[in-house]
Amino acid sequence: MSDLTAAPGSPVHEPMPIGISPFKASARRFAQNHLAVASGFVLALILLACYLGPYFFAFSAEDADFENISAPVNLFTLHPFGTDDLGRDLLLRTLEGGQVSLALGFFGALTSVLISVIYGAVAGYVGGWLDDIMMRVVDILFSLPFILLAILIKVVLQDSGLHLGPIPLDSPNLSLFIAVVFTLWLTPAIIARGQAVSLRSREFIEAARAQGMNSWQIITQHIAPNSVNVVIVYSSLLVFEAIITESVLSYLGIGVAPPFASWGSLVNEGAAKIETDMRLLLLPGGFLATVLFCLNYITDGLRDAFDPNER
Amino acid sequence: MWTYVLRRAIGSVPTLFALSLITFLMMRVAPGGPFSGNRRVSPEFVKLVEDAYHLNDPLLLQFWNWFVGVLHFDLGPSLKLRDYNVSELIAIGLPTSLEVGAWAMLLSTLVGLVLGIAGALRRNGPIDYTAGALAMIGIAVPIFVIGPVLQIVFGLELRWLPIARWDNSWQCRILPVVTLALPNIAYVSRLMRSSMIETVRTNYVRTARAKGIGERRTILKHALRGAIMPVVAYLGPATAVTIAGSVVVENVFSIPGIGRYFVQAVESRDYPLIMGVTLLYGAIVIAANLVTDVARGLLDPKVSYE
Amino acid sequence: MSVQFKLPQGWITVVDKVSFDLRQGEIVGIVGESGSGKSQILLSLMGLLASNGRCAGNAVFEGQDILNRPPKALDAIRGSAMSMIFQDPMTSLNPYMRVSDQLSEVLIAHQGKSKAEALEIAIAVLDRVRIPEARRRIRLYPHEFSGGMRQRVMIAMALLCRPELLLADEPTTALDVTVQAQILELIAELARDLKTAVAIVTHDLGVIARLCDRVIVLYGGRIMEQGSVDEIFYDPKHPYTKGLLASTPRLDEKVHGALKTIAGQPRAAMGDFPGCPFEPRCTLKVERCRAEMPALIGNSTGRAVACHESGV
Repeated sequence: MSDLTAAPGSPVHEPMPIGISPFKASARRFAQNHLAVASGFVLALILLACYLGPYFFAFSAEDADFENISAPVNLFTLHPFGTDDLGRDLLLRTLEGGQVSLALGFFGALTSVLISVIYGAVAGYVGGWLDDIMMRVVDILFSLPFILLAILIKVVLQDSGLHLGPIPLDSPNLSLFIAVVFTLWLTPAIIARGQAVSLRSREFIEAARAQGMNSWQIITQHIAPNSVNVVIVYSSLLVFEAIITESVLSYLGIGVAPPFASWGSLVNEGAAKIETDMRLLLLPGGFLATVLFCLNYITDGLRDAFDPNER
Repeated sequence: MWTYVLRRAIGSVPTLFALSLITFLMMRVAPGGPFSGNRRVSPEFVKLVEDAYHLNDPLLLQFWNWFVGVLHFDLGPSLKLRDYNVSELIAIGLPTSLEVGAWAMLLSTLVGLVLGIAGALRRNGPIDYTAGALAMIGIAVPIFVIGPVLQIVFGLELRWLPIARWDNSWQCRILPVVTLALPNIAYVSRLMRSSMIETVRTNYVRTARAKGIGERRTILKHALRGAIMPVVAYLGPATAVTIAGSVVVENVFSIPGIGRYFVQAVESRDYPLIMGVTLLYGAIVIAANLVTDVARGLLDPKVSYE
Repeated sequence: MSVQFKLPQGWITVVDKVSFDLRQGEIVGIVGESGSGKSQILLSLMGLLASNGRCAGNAVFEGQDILNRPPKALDAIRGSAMSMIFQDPMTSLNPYMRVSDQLSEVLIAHQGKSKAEALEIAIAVLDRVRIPEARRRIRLYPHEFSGGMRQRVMIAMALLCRPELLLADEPTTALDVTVQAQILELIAELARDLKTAVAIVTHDLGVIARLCDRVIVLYGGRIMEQGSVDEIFYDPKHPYTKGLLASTPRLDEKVHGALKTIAGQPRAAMGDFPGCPFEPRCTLKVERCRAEMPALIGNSTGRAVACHESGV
């Protein structure tokens, strides 16, 4: 019976794994998702068009071209997508409106991410009654549909006449920005807190504590960076939600104020005139829908690539 | 189980209270009152009106008065529409909003379930692709774009349905309800599809098949029971989505419901009306979440109410 | 039969031309390491193979070929003439349905019983598998039973229609050791009473020793050796069988030094090699073993070995 138990170590060849950081591996997975990458390209294209495009126009968005009122779509003329009933070029207005929508979307999302990660990391790491209170606040704010919350905040800020030093909190655009950010940070804060809670009992946190790091240092140097994975997935979702929230507010007339226009407010104007000229609605609406579609595919792609729970 | 319901209901009171407090404070912080933007009126007149509406009392007293009123379902007088109480206004607009909202919830749940199940069972088939495309549209395209597009297609071009009218006919209800339902159709169908796919792969569905009871019974009796749980849990948030959507939809289709009142109140800074509607929405969402919780507990035998 | 699965890298063969037969009332054990494809044999017979798998060959049950039939055709047999019990009773029973419903539906579907009749029969069978207070307990949900009792419920469910053939996929692996013995006792007893043939798949030699009349030893998707339980345990011929038996610690032997093992790892991708799958780990191997798969050569009593260097 003993002739079978040969000495261990019979050669079984296995390739040595090369060191790829989890981030790189996820990034590679994302790159293989053609739909997401294509969406990224389209989004980048639209971004470029909105910010660089207006330079190609010899006139400005407010210029009324009285010779060409309500001109139809004719790609080879001065006004490729026609003009509205005041003679303003439609494409130019849409592109400039895009600047506002996209800027609010991206920066709003970025700010939300920062706030929510810090909030969640603090709540999750410190725990105890602080955690309870912070999460209760989130709970309460959650009981309102987001749009309503954003509307309330924006209106209140706008009327309040509050100034943070030289910063006018009551300007329509800034209050809109704050309103959007304030509704967005709730969900990622909960996620970040969950991450922090699961991280705080890990060994490397204990090691950091043993090294004498104080709580704040631990939060900023260990907990927050380790939540990046989860947050990346949510960041594109946040951009998506930011753009939607801003455009709904602008559509209702409670968003950007003239002279600024965003896709939402343009759709508002266009909706009033669909019986006479549906291009006014369709062009900004089309841009908006396209951007949102792209963001949606990118979000899905990011989630498939980066979220460990999905794998 | 009823103790659980009662406990949860009582637990939501502080939330409602906090919500009303926050709303109240926010409204008072904004100095722009009912007189901002109007013609100029004499200071004495302003003071007269403000006293009549107790606008100069200490904040806490104002809030206390208002809150007591709320408990009696008296939400105070509207500041702008001076002939009406806020409660009366809500009573006028609520049935309309409820009707549209309820139909939208019903439509979105049923259609979403059917599309989700069909898509899961015949993956990558034609139904799955159409359901997926529909879901995409419902999620990515904002309601205020879908609405007008539907108005253009069905109202202007095909002339089948009215664009923005509200009477007793059923035709004028179709577009608003469909528009409002679309986002939830998207979410529910995607949720149901992935839940169904996952459930069909479980061991207990395998056992059901091994018992030879037939594929149809396996799916309907075994797979469905487990798969539907996430959708039931989603019904609470779905209500919030519907409420948010109704504000837009009522605007697009000129429907005289609470959503429209809310937007008008915001524009005219009619505090009591704003607060009343906010509180109402908050209460509806909290109630919906409570109902969802209880429903989930009823359907899942593993949940016990200790 | 042979079973293959489609993976991103292509088709791999997990069961390679395995052939055996089962007589009425016989208990056959299929033993092998994890991943040797043994469970797939049972699943293929029941028509429960995963969607990325395919099986080739034939399996004759009561005069009919049941391999690769459409589900509708198999439904008549599954659960009535041929049934299966699975490894993990917690996940294999529907957590959202009462045990009474899960049991009754088998009788309603196959024997046309009414709900009341089916319930009575089910209670009787639960009694038979020794679940105390069956009448009260049957209304409970699966998570309200203990692990051992859940497996009894599964057994009851499989035997409701008095099947000719019972397939058991590692029925005791998920259970405590003390409970394992009881469950095996139960299976043996019921099989003898109902004259049901049993095919049991396991990696635990103790289960085989306790329960089976005949044994089939599987490695790399191929039969290495087969024979009666006495023959296999007391007179193993194949190097793998010998290694398996040697590496099982026995209570009545003192252990000197390290525990005996079989060197090497189970092979990752199976089949598709011309030679013997056990060759990398075998101490008896010669040049021929790598190039040519040894045929399963047996005698008239059903004893067989597949090895170039050993024979019956």
